[in-house]
Amino acid sequence: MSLYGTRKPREISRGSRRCIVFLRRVCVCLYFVARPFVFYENFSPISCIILNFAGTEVRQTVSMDEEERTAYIQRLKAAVHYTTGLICRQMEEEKEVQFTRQTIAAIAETAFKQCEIFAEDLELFSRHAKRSTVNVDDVKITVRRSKPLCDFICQKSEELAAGQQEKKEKKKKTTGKGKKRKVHIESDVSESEDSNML
Amino acid sequence: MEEKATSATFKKETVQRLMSLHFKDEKTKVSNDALILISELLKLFIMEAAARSAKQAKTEENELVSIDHFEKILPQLYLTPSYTFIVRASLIYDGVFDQKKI
Repeated sequence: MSLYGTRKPREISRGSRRCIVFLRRVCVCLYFVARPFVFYENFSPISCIILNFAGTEVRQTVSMDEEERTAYIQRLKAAVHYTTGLICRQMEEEKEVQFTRQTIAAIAETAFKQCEIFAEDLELFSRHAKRSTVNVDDVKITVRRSKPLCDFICQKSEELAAGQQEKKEKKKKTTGKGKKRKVHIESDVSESEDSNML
Repeated sequence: MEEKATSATFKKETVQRLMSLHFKDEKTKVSNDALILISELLKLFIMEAAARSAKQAKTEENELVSIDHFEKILPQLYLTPSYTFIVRASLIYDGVFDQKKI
């Protein structure tokens, strides 16, 4: 007499067979449906296990496919390159020189790398302040090392704040009164620019 | 003249995507004002690099700014991020700074 009873080892009940067939079908469906989706990070652990069972590779670390990521980076670099080209063209007119294509490409690449440094610093500062949104203050801290740059950024932020303030006041007051205030504030801002940089 | 100096800027969306690409946490966002400031920073960086390369080329009596000139100014650009050169230049351009006072 065997310890496990008289049942044959391979004999499965009809109910459990149906379950297995159902699961197999689910996995096949998931294989064909879920495979094109590339955002793997948001899946719960259980669904990851099911997807793994179905044969899809679940990657928790990257949110995009490797190829898509490189294509995305290429597009961004191209955008940076375009704006760099425009800025260099303006420089050419000012300084009366000619920039080679390789130089513009090199400057664009360097600017792209600089973005990474900025982003890292900004994220760290905002995280330290227990915020999830990068603020103007974070930007100010990032440029604190260079005094003229810091002053420039502070000045710009004040202009932005003044512009927003004036928008708010415009909404509150009537259009006629709002225009008078705008002229008054603009003259104040230009005067403060002079006093800051002298 | 003022418009000429400031016409080429980064689009907000580009800067937003650039920042999000390098953020370690996907939930980190950038405020609107901060985006404007970051695009200004990037523009200044590029202007600084271009102006220093142009100056290097001029000291070598060359009208064509090649990659060698850029390579020469690159260490100093990173070690001493004093954007005095460009900030003053842009202010002269805007007519705020009196040239005699520099």
